[in-house]
Amino acid sequence: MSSLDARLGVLRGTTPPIPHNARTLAALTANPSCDRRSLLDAAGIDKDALAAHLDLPRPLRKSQLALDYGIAFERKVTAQAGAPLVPLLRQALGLTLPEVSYEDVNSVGSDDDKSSPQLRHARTRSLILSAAHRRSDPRTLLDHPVLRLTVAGHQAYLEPDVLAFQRDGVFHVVEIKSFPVIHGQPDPIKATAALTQAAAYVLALRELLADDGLPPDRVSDTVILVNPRNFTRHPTATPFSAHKQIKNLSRHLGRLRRLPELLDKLPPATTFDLAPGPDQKPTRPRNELVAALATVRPHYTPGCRHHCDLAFHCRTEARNQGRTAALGTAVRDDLAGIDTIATALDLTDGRMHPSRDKQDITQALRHAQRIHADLQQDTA
Amino acid sequence: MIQLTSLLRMRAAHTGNVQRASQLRHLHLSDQPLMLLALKQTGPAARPLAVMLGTDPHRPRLLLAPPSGSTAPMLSALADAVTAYIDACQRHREHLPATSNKPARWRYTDAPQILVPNPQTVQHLKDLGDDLRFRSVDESPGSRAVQRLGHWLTYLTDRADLPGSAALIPMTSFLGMHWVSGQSPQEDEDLATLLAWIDPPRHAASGRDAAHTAEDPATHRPAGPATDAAFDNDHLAPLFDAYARARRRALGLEQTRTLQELDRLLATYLQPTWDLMWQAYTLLQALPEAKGTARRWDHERTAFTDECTYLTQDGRPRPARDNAVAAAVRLACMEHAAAAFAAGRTAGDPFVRAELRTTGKAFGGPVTTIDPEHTLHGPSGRTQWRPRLTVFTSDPVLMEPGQLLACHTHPSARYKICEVTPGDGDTLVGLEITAGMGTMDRPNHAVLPDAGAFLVFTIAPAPYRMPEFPARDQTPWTHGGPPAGQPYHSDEDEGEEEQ
Amino acid sequence: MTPPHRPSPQQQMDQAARAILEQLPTLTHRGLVVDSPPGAGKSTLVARAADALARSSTPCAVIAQTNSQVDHLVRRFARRHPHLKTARLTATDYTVPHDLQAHPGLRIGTRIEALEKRADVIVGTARKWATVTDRRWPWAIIDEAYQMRSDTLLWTAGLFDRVLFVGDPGQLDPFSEAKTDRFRGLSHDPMNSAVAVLLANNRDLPVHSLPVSWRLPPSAVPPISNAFYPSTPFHAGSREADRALTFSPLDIRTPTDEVIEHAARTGWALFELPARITGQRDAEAVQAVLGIAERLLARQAVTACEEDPEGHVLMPGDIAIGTAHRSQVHDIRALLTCHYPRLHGITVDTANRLQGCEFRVTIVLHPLSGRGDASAFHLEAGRLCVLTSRHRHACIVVARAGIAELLDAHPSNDPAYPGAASKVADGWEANHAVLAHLAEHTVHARARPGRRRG
Repeated sequence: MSSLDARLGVLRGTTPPIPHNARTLAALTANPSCDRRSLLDAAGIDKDALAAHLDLPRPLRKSQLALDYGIAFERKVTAQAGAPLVPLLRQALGLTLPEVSYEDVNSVGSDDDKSSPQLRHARTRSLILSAAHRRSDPRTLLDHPVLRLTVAGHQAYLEPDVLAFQRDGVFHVVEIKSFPVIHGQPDPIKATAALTQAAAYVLALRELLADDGLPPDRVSDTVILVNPRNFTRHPTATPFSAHKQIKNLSRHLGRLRRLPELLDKLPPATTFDLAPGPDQKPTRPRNELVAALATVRPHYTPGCRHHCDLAFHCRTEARNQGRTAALGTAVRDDLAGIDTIATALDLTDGRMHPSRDKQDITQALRHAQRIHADLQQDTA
Repeated sequence: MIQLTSLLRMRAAHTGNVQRASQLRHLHLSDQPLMLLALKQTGPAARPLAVMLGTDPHRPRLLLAPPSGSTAPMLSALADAVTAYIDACQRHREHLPATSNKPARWRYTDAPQILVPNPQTVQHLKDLGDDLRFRSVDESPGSRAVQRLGHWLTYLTDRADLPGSAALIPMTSFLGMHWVSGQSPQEDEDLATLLAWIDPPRHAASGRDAAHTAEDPATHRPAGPATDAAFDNDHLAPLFDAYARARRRALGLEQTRTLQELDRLLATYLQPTWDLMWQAYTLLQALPEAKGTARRWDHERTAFTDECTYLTQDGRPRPARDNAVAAAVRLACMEHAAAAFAAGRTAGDPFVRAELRTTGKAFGGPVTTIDPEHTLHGPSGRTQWRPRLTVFTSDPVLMEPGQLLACHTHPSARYKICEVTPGDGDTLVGLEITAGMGTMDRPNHAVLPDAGAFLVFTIAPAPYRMPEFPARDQTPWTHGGPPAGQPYHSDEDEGEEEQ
Repeated sequence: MTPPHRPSPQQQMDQAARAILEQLPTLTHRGLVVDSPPGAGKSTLVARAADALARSSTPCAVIAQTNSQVDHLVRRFARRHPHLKTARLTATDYTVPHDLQAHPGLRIGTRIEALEKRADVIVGTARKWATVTDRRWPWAIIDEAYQMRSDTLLWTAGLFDRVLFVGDPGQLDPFSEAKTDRFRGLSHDPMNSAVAVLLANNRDLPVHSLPVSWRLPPSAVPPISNAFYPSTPFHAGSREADRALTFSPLDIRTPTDEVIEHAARTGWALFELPARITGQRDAEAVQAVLGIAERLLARQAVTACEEDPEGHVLMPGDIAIGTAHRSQVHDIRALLTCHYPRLHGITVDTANRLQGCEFRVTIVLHPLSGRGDASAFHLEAGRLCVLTSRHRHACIVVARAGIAELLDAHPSNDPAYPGAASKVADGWEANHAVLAHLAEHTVHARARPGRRRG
């Protein structure tokens, strides 16, 4: 175990780490400047458990109804050896071949529902490489392959829904998502999230091929999303360019190297351990946990609740500190360079004398205040 | 530049109490709006779970769709309720005499107004309209009414895209025009917390405290249309399972009992939001209407009358996506509506003008000099009367000479910036009155301000003329040529699926 | 690495222009698109094409997007194509510049009836052309077609049998105040550019590109071409030896001198101020911008190029200052008026208004300078492209330190829409590319050893 791992292990405490998956990797691009999030994710800490222990709303909790619906849709699409998928991909990708060979990598060499990711990855790897080198009849569809991506020096196993291989030698990532495409329009925010996850698969697949000396362009930037069409459960396939998401994610993966730097800033013996008791209930005093979290710099925005379990903790913190960022981008933009509401209002009301670099903004604040005062007078 | 709203948001956050923004209402508020809350089922697109609606605060009606199986009876009941409300708006009509550019016509004296909690509900109703208006009409009772409901939902949600329209209004946006809370705009989209800021219960120490209480996960109920995961897992999923089990085994009684339980559960879930909607309505109703609000409602009634005429004369569902010409016309309408609404609000509301002054889109100050006799020679050599004035302002003036301005004191007058002379923190702006002052022989002296008068000048709205678009069958080759026969039905006849 | 047989820039340009002009009379498609990088001789091509088309069929309609673009084209026709009967179709509320009003060969009119009978070429804005009805002519040329919104094209396209579209794909996209995504994904999205819609509906249309920038110096072409024109690369028309920017020597050198000297040597400089979040108003940056301009003039900079080999003493009119926001223009102009009398005559404007303009030296206040975060507006590739591609000799960028970190902190959650990757460069990527290039040309405002970021 490297010393980095040991240090991250201390942060996490006694529970086993939550490995990176496509969703957590995608989150790297959602708020890249949040040190708190970077560190917690790198250490594989269960952020939802932290939020639960702190008695906070858990914004990312999954609805069982949503999960069931998603699973049912995915089953429908991949049923009968991917039969419903084939005509869709033929159309979306121009797959010309008459016959499509299909392989489910869900279970390898055993009757268990799922084999270990290592085993499935080995199988995936051999299938992909033999297709890429045309050593065998190309497998055109791989269901539930397992890919491996190096994240901050570690191997993360990733499970794309489907990989499609074209006769002309190009692989495509296919993601099955249960949000609808209504009259050709998928929800653009959900589509972005799906593409960012797909970007992780693209990078992992490129890594696999690169190990064998194959160029990155053997994996297409074009990702296919398969969604329910309109108000039915019939699938439809939509090609998207994930170029931007791939570029972004790959840059952020590169930036994970700054982890040691973040660790160095922590006071010694910092840990986010929940210290589960014999009944598995956390015993860590809440104020201690809050204090430990406070040692890492967050970057809170009101949008955090859409992608981070700890959003409400960071919000409380930001509000208690009177941070302008808690009021949204418009205020933060206007108040460029002033971090707290108290400072801004002190400058506005003349309780504080502006430093040289705050003169312009103070003037603007006082101008807005003057206009507001005029308005009050007029309408009084 | 600091927007006035940003300053107010900080004040609200600092004091814990909401700040007043515009104190004039720019959207018409009906005496009998149709209040509508919608919940959708988690998972499928636009499958309704429940709708609570009505025009009487004390008698909400709850319509429930079963967790699985056909939603047709529920949709049919919803269609009847909404259509009855819309029909009631068509009881009286008024005659409009001919004007210089329009022949005599008539229009209904009322129009539907539906109030929903948030923009997400508008999106849900749009999806529902996209689904229902393409449903085929068959013998089954209510199928025509359901298709008609789809048509109206599409009409209403299209109107909601137009700034200044009052046909379908999300309450959180409406409240946001008049009050600034101390939380972020994202959080303002939650009706319960926003209203807690604006109108806290008597016992609350502050709006902030009330909002904090309102957010308590144990009691907080999002206003829909999505239900939150905790509610799904803890309450809905067990009932859904029970219903599915009973349905599989064809246990009619068990099914009914589960539905009754669901009915009770959702009625309790929606009731707090229902009450908040009427609380918000009362607050908004107390605000005086701004000038121009009635005129905008006239336009709303015209649009409604036109749609009724379309339904009786043609009635085919609007296509799923706009064709090239329709899209361009639609965009022009949206841009025009936005500009007209902005201009109307600027002219009629001192808060809006104050906000513009803080963003450099308006300036205000005293008139220092006036030269009422100033004339100049036009290109044809004729003498033109162009009174001049100078305004002294401490607002930043980002405009350039040549810019045409308006002033709310004389809406038809126009002022051209001739000169901008920045001083030390202040600016002198030289203006020339180019319209609204009459002629030298018949001057309108009221337009000429006195020295010392404090005036606010805003950018004059650009004169608008709807460009002439080609007819649909004249769509040029650059835009794909005339579209093939309009797809009046969506591409699927797969119908609704069993869950 | 230039292979010996490569044709000269002039030959490349002639070849490209000939290919376009020769194709026009026999074109079987209904349209032709010409992508033109900055300063590639777009106006020349438009004028030559109009001249050629007017020989066979008149009148040839020429459509531009703004009045100043139209006036610019009309001026070119009047000077370089005097044998053509040129007409200027104008709106009633627009005053055509005096030099054009006074031009004897030029007809100016507000109604098409008054012009169409006798003109070879009729030039007007797209908005004005939209008022023309019930006509059909064989040819139109649309200039700055990437700045045209596709709904505007809808008004006019029916008037013409064939259309030549010319434009710069790297500039700012057209804009709408309407907040909606209901048109997204439509091949005829009215908020999209005219060329994007045209090509989406006519996939087989021939697309040419002009291969040479005559404006940008050799130092500017690789970074601009790579960052903003990934799908239509281009070369410099001049050789390194052609372009020179020189000063009188000096004993004492300030950082500002270092900046302009570096820019003179390399064509680029980034004057980096200490990191600070300032918002739109950054008095220090404004001072720095004006200080650089003043230094250029005070040291009597002389530019020499293939058009001016003898050298030209840099005047205020040869310099532009470009910003992202109107309020910054306002601040700079206000300061300039009060405290920098020597700089009167310098152009100060936003990227939007600098589109299509050319200067000897440009000074750019970086759109991301002093910001706490990047937004879609500040990241837009077209904005940075316009600002960094107006110059013939040198482009000097003024920025607060920390932009690279800002870009890295930018969340990538822009909404995604179906379809293939767009031809337009991605702003985040382009910004990174330009910044990486500028890193080699950085001069720090105050020398602070050991504080260099990167």
